Amino acid sequence: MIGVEIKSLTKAYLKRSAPVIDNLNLRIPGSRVTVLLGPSGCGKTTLLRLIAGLEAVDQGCICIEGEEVQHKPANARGVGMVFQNYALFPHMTVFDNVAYGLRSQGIKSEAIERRVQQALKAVSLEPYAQRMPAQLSGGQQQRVALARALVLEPKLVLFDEPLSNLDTQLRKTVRRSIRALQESLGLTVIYVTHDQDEALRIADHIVLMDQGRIVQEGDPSSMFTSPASEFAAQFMAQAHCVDGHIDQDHRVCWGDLVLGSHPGVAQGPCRIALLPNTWELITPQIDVPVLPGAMESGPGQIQGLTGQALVGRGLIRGQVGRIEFAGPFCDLEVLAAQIPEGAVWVRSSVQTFKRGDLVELQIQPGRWFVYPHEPVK
Amino acid sequence: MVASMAAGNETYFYISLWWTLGLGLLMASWGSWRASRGDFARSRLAGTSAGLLLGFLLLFLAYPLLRAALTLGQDEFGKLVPGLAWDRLSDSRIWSLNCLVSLQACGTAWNSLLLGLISGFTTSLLGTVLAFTSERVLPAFRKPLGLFAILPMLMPPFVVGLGLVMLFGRAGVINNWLEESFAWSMGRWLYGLEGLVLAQIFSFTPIAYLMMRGVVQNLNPALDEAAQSLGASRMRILRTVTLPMLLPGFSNACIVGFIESIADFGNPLILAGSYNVLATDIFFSVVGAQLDFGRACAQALVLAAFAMTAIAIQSFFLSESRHVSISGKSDASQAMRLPAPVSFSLASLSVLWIMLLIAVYSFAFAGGFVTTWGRDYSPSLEHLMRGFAIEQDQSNWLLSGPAWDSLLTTLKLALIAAPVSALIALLMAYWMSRLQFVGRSLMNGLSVLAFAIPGTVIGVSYILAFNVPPFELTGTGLLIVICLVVRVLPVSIRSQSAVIQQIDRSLDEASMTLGASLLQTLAKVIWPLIRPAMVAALLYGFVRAMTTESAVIFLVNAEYELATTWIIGRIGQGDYGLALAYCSVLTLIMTAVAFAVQALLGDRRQIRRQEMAANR
Repeated sequence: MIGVEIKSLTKAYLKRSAPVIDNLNLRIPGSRVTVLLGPSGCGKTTLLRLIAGLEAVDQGCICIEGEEVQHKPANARGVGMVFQNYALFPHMTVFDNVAYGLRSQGIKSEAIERRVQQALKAVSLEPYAQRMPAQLSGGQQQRVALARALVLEPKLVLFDEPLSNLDTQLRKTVRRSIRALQESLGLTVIYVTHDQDEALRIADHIVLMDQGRIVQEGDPSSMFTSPASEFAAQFMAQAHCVDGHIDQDHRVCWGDLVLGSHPGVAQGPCRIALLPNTWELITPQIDVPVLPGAMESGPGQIQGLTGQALVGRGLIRGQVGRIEFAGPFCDLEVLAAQIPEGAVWVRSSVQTFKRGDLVELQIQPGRWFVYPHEPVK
Repeated sequence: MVASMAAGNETYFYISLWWTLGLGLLMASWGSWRASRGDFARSRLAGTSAGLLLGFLLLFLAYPLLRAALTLGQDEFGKLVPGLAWDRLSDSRIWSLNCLVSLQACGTAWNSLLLGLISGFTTSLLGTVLAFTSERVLPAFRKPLGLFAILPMLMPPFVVGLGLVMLFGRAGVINNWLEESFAWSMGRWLYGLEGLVLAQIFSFTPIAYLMMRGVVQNLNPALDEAAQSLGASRMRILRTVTLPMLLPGFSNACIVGFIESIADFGNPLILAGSYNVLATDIFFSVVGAQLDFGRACAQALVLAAFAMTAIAIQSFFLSESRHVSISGKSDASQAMRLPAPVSFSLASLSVLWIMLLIAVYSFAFAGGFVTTWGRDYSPSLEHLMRGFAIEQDQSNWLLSGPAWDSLLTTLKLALIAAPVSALIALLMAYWMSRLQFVGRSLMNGLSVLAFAIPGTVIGVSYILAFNVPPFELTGTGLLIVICLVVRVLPVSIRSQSAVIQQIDRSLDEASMTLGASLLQTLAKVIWPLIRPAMVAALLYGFVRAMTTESAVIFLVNAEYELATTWIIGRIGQGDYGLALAYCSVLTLIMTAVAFAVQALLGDRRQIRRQEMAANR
């Protein structure tokens, strides 16, 4: 079932300036969570506001459950929205905030009472009905905003970066309660965020946007495992992108380092996206000779090992530089002469490394991607 | 006065009314059409009302000014004569520089310019002194200074001028004392540039103080601390950090003071003597025997050009200062204490100023309650009784005093104009800060124009525009109310825009996505949040409408005499006693209304604002 369909949508804030949304086509599945993801200024919030009716459409159409709505004002679209700052009315109690939409429709007060209590119950805020918004915590305010949108039983609920004002711990709880409510009510949700981790965790369907266009869309796992472009790899999988080339034997080379073969790609320059887990640390093997003088030659300048000897086994030998402790794992800077940039950052679950330790890296197949080299814009 | 010569024929009035309504209908349907095309968030109500408001501004602001510009080129028979406009604009009475080389007077334009520059600079300087005193030296001064800053707004504009006359005029207390004790006469020095500057210092320093207080409060104390930690002495910090940071705000205050000064009508009317300035000369060109509309238009356009130039420079300074000002105050930092000699001088100057101010005001009001100023200082209610006599005629009470008519008319018109302008200002501020539409920049430009144009210019333009078909409205109460609304509108729009911009846009948007209409959003979300600002706007509108004189003096007639213009008449006849007694009555009424409005509508609980801040 299609929840929202968007056809050739274009929006520019100023005439004759570059459009914020450029001829965009999109189908958003019903009863699912669709995340609009992208860096700031990519047009995701504008797209959300166009769907809500808070911005006027320049061209194209927006259909919600098969009905064209682009000519309707925001208050006639039946779309709920939860704002980044919650936008609770500061002069009304929690109850009045939630009842606001029902009262605008002129519903009888007994019915309002019942439905508001029900909505507050759904977000477990019944005891707070008579509080003012300022007396609530950020997470509670967020839930009031959610109840206020849901009490109208909207066809579609829009979330504009709803977790960005909450601390890390609260984000997890609120995110899970949003997801639980969505599943129990079968809501169609469009959720805007710039946080790929949040997107991967909450989405059924991710739409990755850049510069007013859709870069890639799909389910979270496919978005993560096969990013369609260098930008997608960078944004979805936090890839480190470097210049490389493909030689006549279809081998993918980063400088002198051969990452592996990639048949079917034309010879010439390319871009290589290296995922954080491209490199696997393996315990140094005793049979690999450590030549004297390797330690003294300084960071990034390990001498005496020939690249060929190691590449044959898929191994790079290096030395630990800086260490970033990150709780369950740590990131190590490994200095190695064979790596064109002189060093790479490697994630390790082993915490016992010290600066100066010798380590070996292995390139993992399938954890790097090759994209055509695009001329600099 | 002038309007009375155009004896309004009722038929003409109704025809004009139909024209006006037709124009309104046209603009309303234009707005409605734009709303259907996607402007105004697709709200027909917003489109219609915005169209009406735009039509209102075009008809009652842009049109009269254009009409005045046209009159500049017309001879007395209404024929356009080439070169006439230039001749009038370059008139030697406006631009002559004779005073530099001989004893003759200089042109009115130079006089206004000089007065404006001196007054603007002096009031800003004094305002800065007072602001530093209340913020950094003597916090106990904050309340009395704040009160003295607001008081002049509750008084008719001639109180200061009359107070100075009571003190320094020919029959003034100080003059008399000097003559009796030392047989030395100060002469007529008060009537000229010196007296004008003195009066304007008393009149406009409160505004400069309010502006500079904001500037001083917004200085970031962390910069003082940084400079101290870098080893600078207090004097050096004052000179190299504090004063340079004040400069944009100070320039802004100077420009506002300049505009106030050149547009001032009340003080020059009393004190200018032979020092002719544009604002009053426009008036004298069209009253009495001269009746030279061409010359009045030329002066009006020169005055308008001065004011517009000042506004343009101000917007330049404001955009500049945006780079300088530092947003957000750090909570922990403490502003530096000023060096002792500086503190002492600031405090003494402030005390002196307050004492002088009290003297001027008390002598002004005393003038209404003594038998004859200069001769017989025995307390008397005679002036008050003369103006506001109430007689019993058989069974009816009769308001037989000659002042009653003007007072009641003024109250009536001000009570109409204040809510109308507050409401229009609310709508315009809301449409302009929240909605996208074609014509928004026109609306904004017109509101800036209304802010910059001096009242006398408006007044003379109104006579020219609304004395003849198709919009023949002079001599009617309607036109006076409209004129009052136009005069009050720009400041109301500014203050309400400022408040609306503090309310996060997402509150309106949330209301819209919850299915509320634009009207419901305005009533239930915006209105409760801006109510305090609305109260202020209502009060300001009422007080301004009660005390305005420059624009409406052209429009009043026997039927619609206003308090201020009636007082001007008394001053003209030298009847200072009644004029001052009347001023006291007006001040009393306005103060009472201010308290009443505050008590009825005011919401002093600051919790709302705190909630708004916490909610973000």
